[in-house]
Amino acid sequence: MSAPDLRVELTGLALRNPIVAASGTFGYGLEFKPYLDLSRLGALVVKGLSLRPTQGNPPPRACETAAGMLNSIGLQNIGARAFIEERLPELKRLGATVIANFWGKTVDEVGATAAVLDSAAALDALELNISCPNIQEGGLEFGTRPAMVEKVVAVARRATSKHLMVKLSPNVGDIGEPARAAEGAGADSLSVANTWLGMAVDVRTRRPKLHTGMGGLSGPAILPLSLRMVYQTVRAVRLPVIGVGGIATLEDALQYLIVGAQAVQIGTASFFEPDVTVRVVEQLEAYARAQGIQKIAELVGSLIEV
Amino acid sequence: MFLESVAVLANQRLAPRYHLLTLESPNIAAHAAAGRFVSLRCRPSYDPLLRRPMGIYRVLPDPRGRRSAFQVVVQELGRGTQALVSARAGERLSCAGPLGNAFTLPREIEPASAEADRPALQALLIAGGIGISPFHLWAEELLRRGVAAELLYGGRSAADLVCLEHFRALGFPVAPATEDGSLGYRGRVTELLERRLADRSKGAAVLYACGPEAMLARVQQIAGAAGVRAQLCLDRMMCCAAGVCLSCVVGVRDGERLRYRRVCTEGPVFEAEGLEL
Repeated sequence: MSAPDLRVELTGLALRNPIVAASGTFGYGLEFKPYLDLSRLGALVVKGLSLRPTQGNPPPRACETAAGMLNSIGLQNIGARAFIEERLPELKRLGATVIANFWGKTVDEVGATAAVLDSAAALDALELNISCPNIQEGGLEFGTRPAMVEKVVAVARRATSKHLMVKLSPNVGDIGEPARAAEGAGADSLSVANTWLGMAVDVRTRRPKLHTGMGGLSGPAILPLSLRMVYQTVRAVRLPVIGVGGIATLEDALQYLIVGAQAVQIGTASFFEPDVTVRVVEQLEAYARAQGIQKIAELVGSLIEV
Repeated sequence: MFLESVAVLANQRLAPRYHLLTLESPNIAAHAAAGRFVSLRCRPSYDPLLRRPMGIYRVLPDPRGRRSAFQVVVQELGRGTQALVSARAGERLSCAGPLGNAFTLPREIEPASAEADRPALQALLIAGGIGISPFHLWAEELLRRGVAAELLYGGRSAADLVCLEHFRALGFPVAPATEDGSLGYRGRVTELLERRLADRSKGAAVLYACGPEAMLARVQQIAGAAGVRAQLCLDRMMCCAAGVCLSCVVGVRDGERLRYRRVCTEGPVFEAEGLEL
């Protein structure tokens, strides 16, 4: 029997398999070179880039919670140009498919960053982070208002001809609204979803455990929440959806594919099992073989509803 | 750097809440150094979710004399360390390491000059409680290099100085300090450090410290006031220990400029000057 075909295509973006390393948990990719062969991943999404280097928030920036963790790193990164010059060539030499996550604090900054990344021929795709605060709207997350989503995605769309993935914020009532807004503004795919806004308190000091008070919750704890959002998103739009939230095992990844995600991103699990992404690729191939699945697309959206 | 499933060879209880774990890994043992650490999965479950960083305490040879295992001192503080101290011999733990940098000797005072009538360097090692972790390897190194040195070993009480006998067995000079006066100097180990620095007849001093951050901040102050160099070994909450999550950062001030540096990959050992504790 021939090897199962794990390839997926997301609006012109070809991935060798549907397993992607998520932004913010995989550095600039090269940090994971000691743990795994980067060319075996569907793709890797690098730490969120901005026009200029960003320092990030004062510590403490993270804390552990039940089956999860909260973080408020503050988008620390080396800047889009430094990434293109200093990291991207090595990533491509290693055969990685590279998606650059990016953000801005204003609509103009988002456009300018997209333009810089668009100029990097070696980049395979962009992922726009709309979960960061829009300083022109009093620090409200771009992703929480459909009108702002539409505006910021449209600006990014005009600045790049590369595949534009938009990473939605889960901190909304109806995920269909920002999903349709991003689709209407020209997004090529949607990653669903970013971290869930949360909080933890140190009862001895009665202070928040994070310097910024609140932060984003990730890890196995959020899987059912984000899975439900993917389920709702695939019913709201025609765009390909990439499921992200709490995936640590093959079974977790399969759940997302079955509800209709065409690919998945693995994030926090890379912290506690650095080679988890490649192991899930191997397990997915073995699973497809054992189940007699010839093309992984057969599995996508195969949910049986009662 | 290696990611391995390592066998627990022994789990020795040193004192209430303190255990010495012996873990088998020729790879990690071969690349161990004072200050370097491993990142241990406490158990294969989501509670606790994250690995725990543990300083490499000692390296052990196999019967043929090859470095084959290493030890970590674990203080039971929460769910993660609770799981680690209950590990049984024969169990396996997922372990990444060795990670991070190590203590170094300042170049200008190394090696100790043979013809000088006194040692060129007096190294003072300051440990607070579980901050003893990097100092066994460092004491062995200083003995090998013939550097005159002394360990100031502090804790709340004699019961917290769980590794004292190991240093005595090594023949390394140790001065204990306990806050309750149950052993050695009565008071904080940093007070003992100030007394030592007041008597500089023994040569130039360089300080190496590891312990609670309040202790490290005080060592930094004392070193600054005395004009001596100090290297501080930090222990911060880490999510990845791979340099990517950016949660273990510490501020380093260079003039007006503040930069966040990662304890896991740019540390855990930092020059004291400019460090924001």
